[in-house]
Parts: sequence; structure tokens; C-alpha cells
Amino acid sequence: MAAEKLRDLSQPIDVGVLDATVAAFFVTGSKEERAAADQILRDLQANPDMWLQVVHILQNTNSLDTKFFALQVLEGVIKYRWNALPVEQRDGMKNYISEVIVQLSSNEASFRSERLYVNKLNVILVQIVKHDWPAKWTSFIPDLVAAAKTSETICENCMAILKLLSEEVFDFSRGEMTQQKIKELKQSLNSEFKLIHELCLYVLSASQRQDLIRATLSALHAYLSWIPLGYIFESTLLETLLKFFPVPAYRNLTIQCLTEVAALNFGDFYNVQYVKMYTIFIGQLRIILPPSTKIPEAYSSGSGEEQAFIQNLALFFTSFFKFHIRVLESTPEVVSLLLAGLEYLINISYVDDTEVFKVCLDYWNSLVLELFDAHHNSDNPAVSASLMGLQPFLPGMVDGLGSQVMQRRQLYSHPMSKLRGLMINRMAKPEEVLIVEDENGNIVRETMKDNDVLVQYKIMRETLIYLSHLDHDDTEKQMLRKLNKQLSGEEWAWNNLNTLCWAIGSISGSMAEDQENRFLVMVIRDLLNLCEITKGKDNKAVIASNIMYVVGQYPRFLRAHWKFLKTVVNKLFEFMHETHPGVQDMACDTFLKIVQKCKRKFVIVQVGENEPFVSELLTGLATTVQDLEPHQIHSFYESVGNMIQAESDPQKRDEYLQRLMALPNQKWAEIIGQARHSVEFLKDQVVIRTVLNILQTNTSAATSLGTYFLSQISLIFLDMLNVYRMYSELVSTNITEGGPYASKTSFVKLLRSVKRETLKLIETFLDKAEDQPHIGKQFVPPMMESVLGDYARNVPDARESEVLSLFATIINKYKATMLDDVPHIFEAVFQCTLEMITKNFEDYPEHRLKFFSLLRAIATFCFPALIKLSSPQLKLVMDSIIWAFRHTERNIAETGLNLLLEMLKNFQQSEFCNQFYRSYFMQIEQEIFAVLTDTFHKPGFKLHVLVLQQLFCLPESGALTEPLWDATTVPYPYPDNVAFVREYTIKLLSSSFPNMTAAEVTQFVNGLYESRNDPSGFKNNIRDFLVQSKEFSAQDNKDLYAEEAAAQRERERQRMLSIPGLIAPNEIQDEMVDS
Amino acid sequence: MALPNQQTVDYPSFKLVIVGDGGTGKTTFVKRHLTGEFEKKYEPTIGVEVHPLDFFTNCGKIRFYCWDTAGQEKFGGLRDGYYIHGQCAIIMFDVTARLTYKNVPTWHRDLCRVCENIPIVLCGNKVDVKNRQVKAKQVTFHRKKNLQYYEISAKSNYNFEKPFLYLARKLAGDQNLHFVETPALAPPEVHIDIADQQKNEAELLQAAAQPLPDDDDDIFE
Repeated sequence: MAAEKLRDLSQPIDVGVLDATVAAFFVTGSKEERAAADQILRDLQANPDMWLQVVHILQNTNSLDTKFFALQVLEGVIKYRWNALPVEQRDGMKNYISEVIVQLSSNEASFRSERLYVNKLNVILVQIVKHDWPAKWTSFIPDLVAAAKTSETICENCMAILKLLSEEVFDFSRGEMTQQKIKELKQSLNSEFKLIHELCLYVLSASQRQDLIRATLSALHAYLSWIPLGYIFESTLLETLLKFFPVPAYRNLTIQCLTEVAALNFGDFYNVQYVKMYTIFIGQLRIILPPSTKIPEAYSSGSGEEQAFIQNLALFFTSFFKFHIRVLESTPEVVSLLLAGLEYLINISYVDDTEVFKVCLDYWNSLVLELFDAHHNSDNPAVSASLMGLQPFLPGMVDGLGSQVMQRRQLYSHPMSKLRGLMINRMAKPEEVLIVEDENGNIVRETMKDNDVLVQYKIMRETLIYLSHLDHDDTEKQMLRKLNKQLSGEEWAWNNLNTLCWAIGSISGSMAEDQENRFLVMVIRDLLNLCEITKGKDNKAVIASNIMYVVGQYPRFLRAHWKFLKTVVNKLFEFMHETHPGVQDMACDTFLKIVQKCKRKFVIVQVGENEPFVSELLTGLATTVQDLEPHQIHSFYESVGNMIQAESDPQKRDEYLQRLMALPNQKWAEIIGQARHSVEFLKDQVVIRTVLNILQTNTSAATSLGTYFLSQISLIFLDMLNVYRMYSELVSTNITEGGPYASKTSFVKLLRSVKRETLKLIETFLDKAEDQPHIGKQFVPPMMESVLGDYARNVPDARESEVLSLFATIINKYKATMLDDVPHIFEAVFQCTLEMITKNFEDYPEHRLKFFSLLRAIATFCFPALIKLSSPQLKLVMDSIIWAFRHTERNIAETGLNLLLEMLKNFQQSEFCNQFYRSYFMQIEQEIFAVLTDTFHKPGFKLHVLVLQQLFCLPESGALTEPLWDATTVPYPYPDNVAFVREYTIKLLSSSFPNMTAAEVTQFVNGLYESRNDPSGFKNNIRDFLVQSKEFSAQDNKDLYAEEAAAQRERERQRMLSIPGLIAPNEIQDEMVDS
Repeated sequence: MALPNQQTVDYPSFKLVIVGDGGTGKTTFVKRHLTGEFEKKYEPTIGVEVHPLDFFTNCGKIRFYCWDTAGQEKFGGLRDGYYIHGQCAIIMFDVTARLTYKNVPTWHRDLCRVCENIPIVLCGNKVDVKNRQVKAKQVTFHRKKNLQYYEISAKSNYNFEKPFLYLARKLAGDQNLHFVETPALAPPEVHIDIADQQKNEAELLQAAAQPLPDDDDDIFE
């Protein structure tokens, strides 16, 4: 392939071939050609000699893509090797880049057509500036500003460069430069901003050119968040910005700038200016977007730009109000403008776009909280009392602070009332019920805990509760009025009714009990009324489900009205026979929720009844659940488990539990009985499914019953383990005989489902049971053979990772009482699991994570067991920990590092401190530095730092009483461990990072020592080190290396000279005379 | 912007660049669509892998050439070079790893420096995992930048199509464009609630068929 010859960099590269390769990669190539081209390009990029070809390429190609590629090569050199280059090369490069930029951007046509190239050149220039400015390029800003004044396109490009510079220094400097360097650049930019400021104002006042003005506004936007405030408030800047605001082409950019200004918050000094800015802004906004505009409609039919404007407007108002709303409360004129702004924001809140809504909602939430807090914390008892709904508000009693609070409340009462309407209108769906399929193909219930809608619901609920506290009467009135409009048909729609009922449900508990009762009775009366007058089954069902929802939200009401509660529950039971999946799910879900809140009511004998409800329920259990799907039955069992758990009499509790489990236990007994005759019976797929279902039912009941499930689990435990073991062996045989695909067959998957469910049931019970050591002692020994022994004996593909997590749960729960069992656990899982996960970093990802979690549980709670290990065994543990944090998979590496930290701390406090650290200190330090400086392990940075800090603090902690070094092999006697660690670290780093000078390494290590007790200083030192470790230092400036540097310079120059065109003609001082 | 010579198919195609930190699930996300498989193993992408993904809309078929780029610095290859000619982009982070969200601005900056004004979607992946580190309400970066944001789960297919639909609408300039045929997805492993309203409304609809008992009114006295 022609492209292969590109790899030979001893000659000038064939630009034509390079162009073709680049084109094959980006545009023309087939899949294979592209992959081949990618490989070559990446190899070229990685070749340390490639950058010497860059100028040659740039001068000979017409392809923008090739130019971009060449500049990328250059970028790498500038970033990491700039300081190691001889000064002539640096200057040559700097001048070349600057010239090309000026040349391209001075011509409108080339500036537009080669935009991609110019942008990249700008980035390269800024990379150079980051090294050389201010020390070696003092005149950079004046140079740039002077260049900007020569032509409008150059000026436009200078704005782009200035924007890049601000971004690089202020937004993205962390981890890219040392702290010292960042500080220096920030200071320089601050002190030179005057020139930039003048340039921007000059352009904005003088230019008519749209592109230039846009570039200037966008550069300003980058600067506004950090420049000294005087430049903003004591110049014509704000006026100028506001002047551009009405112009459509500049509207979005200007409002973004104004939003930055609005978000500045440095005391009251510029309050007058803020009021002025807001006043002019509203004035102009009223022209652009008349207050009568229907914003939601305008948004939905608007262009992208227009939609962005509405969102930006929301951002402006919310930022301004968040920081400066108080200054708008001063005079009546300004207050009217404030109210106008709030009105705009409420209108924007109705826009049908989640992101826009969330911007508004976040602000409403904080405003309402602020207003509520002021009331709530007020010393005036009358005010607080009225807010808590304890007694009616008495106007005569308010004065002082209270009256201020009341005035503010008065001021916002109208917008707050509108806000209530908004919240009711857009209330988010509170909670989801789901039927899902798990990885074994079984239908289960799954609740998504933290999705977007749920978060939105939480914020809206909180907001509405504050709003309700601010004015209960208005809240009640608006809700009832809305309900009336449902009745009158004026606003009748399912969604309207739903959001209204969700809103009504969400404020449960915010009113005093008697008010709540009165309110709820009215709501339910209206809903029933609605149900009666509404035609159509569909409609009636929606209303009925909303009634269910609302009553489910008011457990206090239900608890106080037994007859009502009973009727609701019985109605839910009726719903459970309706075979539409949604209906049954909703019924089961509501049932569970109500039972959790009212469980005691079901186990006492209610007035006028003969037995507790639970007993009645258990009598009719079979009929009630007969139409439910398995996952719904499980949910039902969990609910009933909750009731039984509330019974305080142990005898009754056990009786209820027996009755609850009678059906599954009967089936279980049948199956076990049959199996005793013939084991083959258990291999029938229908039987396996039944077993699975029985186990799942048990797990559900165990979830809510906790310790009280003991009698039931004891009943089936041993048989269950036998089934587990039999199925496990069956899986193992199938995989051994059927090869790797056998593990994917539905039969094997089904068997594994039973295994996993068994483990899950045990884990659930042991986890939920109260901390009673005897329970652990009772259940763990039988599992040693059937679960652990089985794990060890299985072929790897038949081992369930859940075994590991089960034992991690057990140790986390029963802690030190498990001490004696640890050696057995170790014996069963350690070696065989390690064999599975040490061949590479990828196979068995779940076993990996769970294995290390188990190890961590042992180290945390059963540390003495680790001390008792033989030294080869301990070495295996330490090696596996190191193996863990070498993973690039974040969770595994993190578990490993946390585990390591615990081990280090525990050993430091143990009597084996000397022995342990002498064996492992150096290895651990070396391994940690290896991952720390490996970009694959960036996510572990924080933990790496903690480990190093632990290591650096150790020598002085007094825990060590012997030398860390081995006196028999290390001849040099170090005065103490501190000196040893220092020397060792310097040696380690010097040999690992030849690009750093000895002085730099020593300085770093000393810095580590000095900051070892200051976590943030220690961390910053390491951050700087990471930056330095990637760069080649300015070795040519160091006397120590002057000779070598000169020699290398000469070599480099010779190489460049040998490639025609690499050094620009004006840089060659040859003797050839112009003839 | 049409790509020169990239029209290997006779329907509209677009270059989609996918960026984000290593391990956030970019490859898994693309592969999920390609083969239906959910990959549990983590093997970092080297350089870039390009995959064509076809979608069927009410206006016809469209293709995204997904440039699945390496998130790991070491395997970065040509980095921003891969963004050239990009017409739309997805920035991915992992809601269970805070650092990956903190790095979103850097990815966004690099993208914007090469591709000016392209539609971009921010995706928070792995929302199926229990221990979230980045809460939904902490995700605000996209607001100022006018990006779209979706929470997704490659493992459970949650919101899987949303990013593509958003980009397709932007590229077509048609807010009403919709997908007409669901590409074959493997059955979700952890099904997350389909949080959207329609589904819930549909469920309520089903609840409709439920006959209301006659004693309804007596109940609520």
C-alpha cells in the first residue's frame, strides 16, 4: 500500500499520499480503508519525528483536513515538549504560526473558507502563549490588539483568540498547568484587560459588521464572569450591551452577556446600576416581546434561535432574581417592573419543554423557600402560627420584623397565587409502577427510583407545600375551583384531572388535621360527583383511579376512618380481578402503599367486627390472588407481610404467617415429596418454574417480615439448599458437556434463576433480620457445603457471583461473629475466583466486583482473620488488591483502593505493623505511582492521593519501630525511615520520569513531605507533579544540562536542514550569495 | 452540510460524533443498537470506530454514521481530528461517576472548536444503577449551552432513541418528525419505568374498562 511509505520519516513526507490517506480516512474510504488510514495517521502522530515535517506539509497541501492533522501533531509537541526545544525553533514556530494566522485572517475569503484551519491555528497559538506569556512574550496582548486594528477580519479572529485565552486560563486550566502558572496567567490577563476592554468597546461602537460584532460579544461573554467589576459598571459597557439587545442578530449573545452580569454577586455597591440595567431591559423586552404574547404558543412555533431566546430569557430572569431580587423591592415603580418580570417568567414556565421548565422550576423552588423561611423563622408567634395552620392570622398582632415579612408576603401574593396555578397545571407524575423482564427472562416488578420525572415531582411537591403554607386558603380555593371546572366540563380532560389529583395528593400533611379532613371530604365528594355525572366507562375509570390515588396519599385520614379504609382496600381487591395489566398493577401497588402506612389497623379487631382484617383476608387469600400474575402475587405477599409484622403477639404472628404461606408451602411439600421418589421430577421445566415462583414468594414475604420470617425460612431452608445443590450440579454438568453455549440455553438459564433466587432469599432474610448473632450461626454452617463447597467444585461458568455478594452481606451484617468462618470462606472462593479473574481485566466482570467487595467486608470486620493468614496467603491477598486497583474499570479499581486504605490503616494499628510495611511499603508506593501517572486511572486520583498521604505520614506516626528497609540487602544506613522514604521516592520517580530534572523531582518529594498533614496542599502538589511529569522541562535553561542541550539542538537542526523546506528560508544563515 | 462522497446510501446520512470520558458507555450504547447485545465487559475503544445506524422516520429512512471515539486519553488517537465534518454530536457521561460529568465542559469545548453550531445532546448514562453520584438536579451544564439533555440507560434501553430523534429533528428542521418503526432491540435487562406520560395515560386508559361497582357512592360517605 502506497500509504505505508509515509511511515518513513527520514525524508520529506509525500504530501500527495498523505492527502489521499487523510481523505480515505475522513471521506472516501471504505470501512477497511478508513481503519487502515486511521492506523497510519495515529502512528504518524505518535512518531516523535513527525512534527519536523509539519511546516513542509502545511506549505504543500491544499486539504484542510491534512492541515488540521499536521497542526494536531504540532499541538502535542507544544503541549509537552515546548520548553525542551531550542529557543530558535520556538521562535521560528511562533512566528510561522502568527504569520499564517495574520495572512489567512486578513483576507475575508480565505478567512471564511479555511475556517477550520484558522480555528486550529488559533488553538495552537494559544497553546504557545500559555507557555511563553508573559515572561517570554511580554507584548502579546498589545501585539494582538495592534493587529486587531489593522483589519476587520483580523479583528474578528483576534476576538476568537481572546476568547480562547480566557477559556484556557479561567475555565480549563485545572490539571493542565501548575498552580503557580495558572496564578501567573490570571494575574497577567487581569492586568492587561484594560487594552482588551478598550478594543471591545471600540469595536462595538464603531463597527457595522455583523460577524465582527458577534465575535466581540461572544469574546466578552467569556470575560464577564471574572473581570474587575469596574470595567462593567463604571464604563459604557452595560449601556452598549443593552443597545444591542433589541437587534435580532445579537439578541441571544447579548442576553447571555447580561445573564453573566446578573449572576455576579459582590455586595450592594452596584445596586443602582443593577436597577438601571433591569429597568432598561424590561423596557426593551416589552417592545421585543409584548407582555400580551402567548409565550408557550410562540415557543412551539418558533425557530431554533427564537426557542433559544426564550430559554435564555428564563436564564436571565432566574439569575437576576436569584441574586438581586431585593434591590427590585425598593420603590413602587421598580416593584411594578419586578412584577412584570415575574409575570414573564410565569408565562415562560408554561412552555412545553422540560429543560425550559426546569430552569424556571429551580428558581420558583428557591424563591418560595426564601419567602417561607422568612415567615417560618420570624420571631413573631402570630406569623409562624398562621403559617403552620395552627390558628387564623391576626393582623393586629404584627409589627417590626413580622410586619416586614408580611409586607413582602403581600408584595408577592399575586405571583405566588399564579404559581400555585402553574404547579397544579404541570404537576409531574409522582411514581411509577412497572412490569419488567429481568436477565433470566422472568417478569418482575421494578421501580425506577431516581428518574427525571420523579425528581421533578419532588421539587414540585416541595414547592407546592411551601406555597400551601404561605396561603392555605388560596391553595384550597384554587384546587377546589379547578375541580369545579372539571365538574362543569370547562377544563375536563384526563391529563388535567390527573395533574390536579397529583397536586392534591402531594400536599398531604401540610394542613392541620381538621382542615385536611374538611378539604379531603370536599375533594372526594366532588370527585364522586364527577364520577356520577361523567359518561363513559373510560372516564369513570380514570376518575376512580384518581380517587384511589388521592386517598392513598392521605394515610392520616385513612387511619382515622376505618370503615373508609376497609372499603378502599376491598375495592382494590376487586380491581385485582380485572385482567387488564395496568389495573391489577395499580391495585397491587396502592395496596402495598396503604398497608405500609396503616398496617396496625389491619391486625386489631375493629369496632363491630369479629376478627382482625388480616385474618379475614387470609381466609379469602386464594380467591383474592387467583387472577393475579406471579409478580403481582409477590407484591401482595409483601403487603400482607407488612400487616403481619405489625402484630405484636408472637403466637398470632406465627399463625398468620403459616396461613399466608400455606399455599406455597403445600406446593413446596408436594414437589419435595415427589423428588424424594425420583430426582428426575425436579428437572421438569414446569416444576422448575414453580420452584422459582415459590422462592420469589418467600423473598417477598421476607422483605417485609424481617426477623419474623424465621419460622418460615427454617421450615424450607435445608430442602432448599438440597435443591440448590442439585440444580447447581446440573448446570455444571450441562456446561461441561455442552460447551460454552450451554450456559446460554433456556434450561440452564432457568436453573440459574432458581440458584440466584435461593441466594437472594437467604440474603434478603439475613439482611432484614434484626442483628441476632444466633441467626447467623444457625444459617451459615449449612451453607458451607451446599453453597460454598458447591461454588468451589463448579466449573467457572456455573459459579454464581451472587455467592460472593451473599457472603459479603453476611459479613457486613454479622461482623466479627463470622471470624471463625472466614478461613472456610477463603478456602472455598479465593483461589478459584482469582483464577477466573486474573487472566485478563475483562472476563467475569460481576465476579470481579463482588469478589473485591467480599474481601473488603472481611478486611473491615474480620481483620484478625487476615492477620492469621500465612505469609504466602497474605501475599496473595495483597497481590489481588494491587490487581484490583490496576483495573481500568472504575468500580473495581475504587473497591481495590478503598480496601487498600483499610488494610493500611488496620495494619498500622496492629502488632504486625513493622513486618507488614517492610514487606509491602515499597511495592505499594511504586504501584500507586504507576496508576497515578497513568491517565487510564484518572478517576482514582482522589484515592491514590489518600493512599500516598497515608504512606507519607506513616514514618513519623510512631507505629513503626524498625527500619522499613532491609538492612541485609541495603548497605547504606539511613538515619531514619523518613529519610529512607524520601530517598526511595526520589529514586523511584527519577528513574520513571527521565523528562524531569533531579531538582524538580526533589522539590516535589520535599513538597509532599511538607504538606503531608494538609490534605488540599498535598493534593495540589500531586496535581502539579502530574502536569510536570508529562512535560519535558526547560532543560536548555539549566546550566547543568547546557552542554547536552546544545548538542541536541545541533542534532535537531541538522535533521531539519536535511529536510528541504522545514526551516523557512529567512532562518537559514547560509553563505549563498544572491547572484 | 452534505459530506463530499459520503453518500454511500441513497437516503440522507449524517456524521454523528460521540464523545465523553472512558467507561461512560459510548460503545455499549452504539452496540446496543447495532447488535442488540448489552456488553458487560469493559474494553476501551482505541482511536475511533465508525458504525452506520439506520432509523426509519415518517419522512423516510435516515442514517447516522456514528463515530464512536475513544474516551481514554491514552487511546485518544486523532482526538479532535475525529470531529471534522461532524454534523451532530452526543456527549456522554456516567451518572454513577462524578468526574465524568465534571469533564463534560471540556468535551463540549473541544467539539465546539471544531464543529461550530451543530446540534448536541448531552446524555447521562447508567441511570439504572442504584448508586447515582450525579443527581438529575445537579445536571445543569446544558442549560446555558442550549444543549438537549437525556437520562439514558444502555443496559435497559431506557430513552434509547431519544437522542437520535432529537438530532434527526434538528437536522431535518422538522419538529414533527418521528420514528415509525422501532429498530430491533434486545429485550431490556433491567426495565426502567417508561417514565413518559403517554404510557401512564395508556394505563389509565386500560383502567377504563373496569366496571365501577354500584355501591360506589355509598362507599365514600
